[in-house]
This record gives sequence, structure tokens and C-alpha cells, in this order.
Amino acid sequence: MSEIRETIVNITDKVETTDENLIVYSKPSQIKEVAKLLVMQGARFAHLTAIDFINQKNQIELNYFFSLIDDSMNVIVKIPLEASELSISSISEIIPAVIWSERECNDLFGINFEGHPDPRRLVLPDNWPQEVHPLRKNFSYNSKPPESKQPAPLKKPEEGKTVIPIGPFYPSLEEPAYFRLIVDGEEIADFDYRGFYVHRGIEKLAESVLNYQQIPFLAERICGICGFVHSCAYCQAVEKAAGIEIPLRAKFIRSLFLELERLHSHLLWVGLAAHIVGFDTLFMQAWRIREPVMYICEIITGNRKTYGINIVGGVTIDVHNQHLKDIDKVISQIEKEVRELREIILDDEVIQLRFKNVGVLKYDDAKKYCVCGPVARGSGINIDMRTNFPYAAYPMLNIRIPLNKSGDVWARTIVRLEEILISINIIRQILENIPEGPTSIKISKIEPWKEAVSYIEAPRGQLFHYVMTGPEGRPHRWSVRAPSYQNYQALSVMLKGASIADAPLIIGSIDPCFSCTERYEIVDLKTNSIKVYTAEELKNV
Amino acid sequence: MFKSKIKALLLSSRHKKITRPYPFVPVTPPENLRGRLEVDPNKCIGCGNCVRTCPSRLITIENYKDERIVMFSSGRCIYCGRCAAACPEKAICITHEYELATDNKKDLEITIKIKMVKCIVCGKPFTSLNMLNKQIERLQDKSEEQINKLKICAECKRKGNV
Repeated sequence: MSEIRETIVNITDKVETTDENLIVYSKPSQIKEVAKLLVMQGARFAHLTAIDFINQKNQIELNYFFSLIDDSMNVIVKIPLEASELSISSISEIIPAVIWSERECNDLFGINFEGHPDPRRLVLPDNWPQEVHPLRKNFSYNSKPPESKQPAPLKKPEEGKTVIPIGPFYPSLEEPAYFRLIVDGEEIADFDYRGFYVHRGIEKLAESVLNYQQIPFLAERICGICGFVHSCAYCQAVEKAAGIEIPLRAKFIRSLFLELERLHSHLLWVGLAAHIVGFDTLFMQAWRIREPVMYICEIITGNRKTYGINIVGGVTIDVHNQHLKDIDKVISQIEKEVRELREIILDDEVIQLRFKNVGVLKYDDAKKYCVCGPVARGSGINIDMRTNFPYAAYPMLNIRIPLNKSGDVWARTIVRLEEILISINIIRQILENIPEGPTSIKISKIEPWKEAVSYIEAPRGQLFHYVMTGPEGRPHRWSVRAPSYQNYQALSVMLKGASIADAPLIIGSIDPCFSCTERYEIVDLKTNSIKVYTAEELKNV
Repeated sequence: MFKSKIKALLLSSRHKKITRPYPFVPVTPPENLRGRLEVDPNKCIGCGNCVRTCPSRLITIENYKDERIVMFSSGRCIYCGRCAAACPEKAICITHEYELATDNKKDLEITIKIKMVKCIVCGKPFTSLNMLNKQIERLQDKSEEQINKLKICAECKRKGNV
């Protein structure tokens, strides 16, 4: 930590240290040096986002977020860009994981990244006009710019290779995404992704209409499976920024629901993975085992999913002793059945043949693309936000992190199965140690221009929320980076060299969550450009 | 290989049918379920706390002639229950009713009208009758003079002071 500080001071303008952030102020010309230095010191790239200060000081500020896993510290590199010259050199050669974030900043803020290997659109629809950037403050949340007709730029296959389109309506996951597999015979040579069809304009809505206490409910709707992690991460970020300490009981209740959510999310994934390889008995059994978790959540919060209990300052419900007893009963039953399920999967030769040595992501590649969650742990990277950046009640709990070095789909399956059992163990610890007391505190006015980063270990990996408080009773900037956002970018490595038949399984193995990844959209995509393209490609095939 | 298949067979044969026969057999909702909203027009004082807390921004308050109209367009409701928690008079109540499918949007709309009180100086309606009664109730000194003070709108009070 201090080492980084000392070396970075030499090449930047100013360095500030707060409790858990190291804030580095730098010039646009220095970004490559700073990035090189941070990577050399072992910092892990988390996200890149911009903040619009055009009304305040005629600048757009770029924020590069890095995390120092061993020190539990964030490094925020702040680079102001004058509104007249929104251009900076891309750091994608140094950190490949930044590619999507840079494309996103280009779309939403209109920042030009020089030397970017793939400067196509990522987030905005094809019919969105070129010079309109929706996350700038001068763009009103409810305005609808005129449509522009542009062909969607897609990767052209090389001579002799064909394209197999999967999607936009994907067969095994009920969300739209368009995968283009460029194949050479049976083998996948390259991969192109066009997604963000479910981009809903959530960040824009929060930054322009809602207030602090309304956003948790919007945040929870980012994802249909792991929504609680989003509302939790948002509330934590605001609480950190405003310096609010929530009651201990509220922290335990948050941890409890985070673990219950991991339980049902992983069981859902096990079912889906079995479904993809055609083992439907297992699919139905995994989902049956999952069901009691949903019932117990419904009994406690009133909802099976999207509990709606998080607010800034704590939680709105209390958990009674009878509920704790019920949870204990449910998890004991699930533990027994998951052990059976695990035996069935581990002994099954057909599953082994389909899962082993498929979609391999080596340790170095996993590091390079900054993947997170079970995908990273399946490649042998020891990273878990619950221990690296402890939040909620996790500092008081004992957590074991399962690791597997082989990096294939099989490794990710084993890691997830193990995590279900670890989650059950954590829930037991929570049930034993949950303290008495209030569940929320009243919050007073939140000071503007304070910022905070909050991490949560979502079922799919490291979730990142950033909040900068604003003067109007709502965040000036709220940025979300879902775990699948990083994991997607590593898909091209996993898919290269695999056979077409394995593609759905490999895509499924990162447990992709499109809604999480594609948080915010304003206009729905009604052009038929996708259909035209698919038809053309089908002809080629 | 066969061992694992036999285990799978045993696991699935242990449970016959777990799908609930809903809607043929009704399901009792859990105690904390947040369902349809119910608003008591007699209790509402038209303070607007619910308007500020509603995440889906579906509650509107408008003054029309001598009435204050509070409208809940519950078609957009996410059933978070924040309005009920914010209501100082407990006028909003969350019921257990969850079968709300309808082909008529109006079924989900709740409109309540609250009587307004006219300012005794300028004659403009300025507060709701329920709110005024509440304020009078809270007065320690219930003299005619104090009560009349409450019946003057903020604007006239300011003018009077000047």
C-alpha cells in the first residue's frame, strides 16, 4: 500500500488517502504510466466510469477503479477531461478487462479512447443518433431523440470461415443476447457479442428523478435472480458516503438474505447446467430443492424474490425467533439433499465427459480479464469480496473459500456446489450469532459531493457499486458494474477452440445474467436490423 | 455410472408431486405478504408524505376547487409498502389481497377526495379539514383566538406580520 503511494506520487499531481480509498489525481497524458504501475503492483481493475461535471466546472471526470485485494483498499484514479477535448488514450493493451468499460463510456458520455481495439457501440441501440450521449446531465431522462438508421457494425469473418448466430433469443436463458460464433468447420475461431437489448436506463432514472430512499427498490430490480445484492450494495455505498453506521442486527439480516439468495441462485444454476446437457431429472430436482428457500423468504419478507426490505439506514422488517427456527429446518433439509445431488453429479460419467476440459480459462487469462466469482475461483484465483472487503456481518463470520485450479466448466460446477454447502454453514453461524436490537436508524440530510465504493460478493462474483452524492437529494452519479460484465469479456478466451456443441454450455457456465450486465436503457429496439443480419448470415451458412 | 443414475432415480422417486394445484385450491398468503393498497379517506390528511416516498411515483396530489384529490394509480405499484410506513395517520393499509389481474385499469386506481378549508382572510382553500382538526386537537390552549390563527393561510399570515 505505502509502496504504491510512494511510487505513484512521483508521476501524478496529487494523492489523497481516506479510510479505504487511495485517490489519485492525474492528467490524461499520464494514464498509461499510472495503469502500468498499478498493474505491476498487483492492483486489480474493477471498473471505469465517468462523471459529468460540465455544469460545475466544464469537465467530465474519468474514474478508474482498482482494488488492492490484500490491503482491502480501493485505488481511484481521477482524470479530468475538458469538455472541449474529450479524448484520452485507451489502456486496453495494458488491461484487456477495460475494453467494455471504455466502449460504454464512449457510448454514454461521448469520450473518445484513442487506440481502442474495438471502438464499436456496446450499450446504445443501433438506431440511436451518433452525437447523443444519454448519461450527460444535459440529456433529459424522458426525451426521445430522433431515430437514425445505421447498420450495426459486426465482426466480419475471415475467408473460409462461417458465422453461426445464436440469439438474440437464446434457447436456454430467457433473456435476449446475440452471440455470433465465427467457426472454422466444427471449431469456434472467434466470437462476437451484441447484447444490451434489455438496457433500461436505470442509472439515468436514479440520477434524475428518484431520491436516496427510492433507489434501493429500483436497484433491486436490476436483476431477476440476485436483486438483493444490488439494493444492498447501493445502500452500503450511500451509507459509506454519508458516514452512517447501521445497527448490527440489520447487518446480520442483510447477510442472512444475501446467503439465502446465493443458495437459491446456485441451485438454479445447477439445474440450468444439467438442463443444457440434457439431464432434465437433475434440472427438476435441483429446482425442487431450491423451492423451500423461496417459500421461507416469502414467509419472512412477503416476497419470494425482490424482497424490498433494504433502505438506506438498515432493513424495514425484523426476523422473529420462529423464522430463525424455520430457516434452520429448511437449510438442514437442503444440506442433506444437496449432498445427494453433489454425489449424483460427481459420479456421473456423462456429465464429466461434457464438463471436463471444456471452456478452459487458465489462471493467467482469468487474471488478465479480471474475472470474478465462481469463474475466477474455478481458475484458481483466491478472491472473495466477503473476506477481501468484508461488509455487512461478514467480518464476524467464518468463511471458507473453495478453489479449483483446472479452470474448466467442471471446476466451476464443483466450486458452486461447494459454495452451496458453505452458504448453509454461514447461515447457521448467522442464526447462532444474530444480536438483538433495532433494525434501522433514521437518516438525516446527506452531504453532497461525497463518494464511496461498495463491493458485494454476488452469486456470480464481485459486484461493484459507486455512489457520488449530489446536491438535490439524490446521487449525482450512481454506477453499477455487475459481475457478469467482467466474466463476459473472458468468454472469447473460453470459446476459442471449443466445438459448437459446447458453446451453450460454456456460455451457461459463467451463469450469465443479462439484466445485471445491461442495466440501463431508454429506447426499445424496434429496428429489424438484427433480423436482416441473421437472415443474411443464415444464407451464408 | 449406474450408481449415480440409481441415486438420481431414488432422489426423484422420493417426491411424487410437489406442484401446488393453484388456482383450483386457494393458497393462503404468508403473514407479511404485501398486497393491494387500501386507503381510508376519512383518515387521510393530504400531507403528501406518501408521494415523496413512493419509488414508482404513482401517487399524485392535486388541489381542485375546494377539494384535495389524492390519486393512487396502483397499476404501477411494486407493493413495497413504503407509503404505509410513511403515513403519519395510518390511513394507508396493505392488505393480503394478491389476485389483482384485471382487464380494466380503473379497477386498480384509488381516488380519494379530501375537503379543504378556506382561509378566513382571503377565502382561498389552503389546508385539508382533517389536517386542521388534527392541528386543533394538538393545541394546548384551545381558545377561540388560537383556533382562528390556524384558519389563516401562510400567505395571509406573512402579510399580517408585515
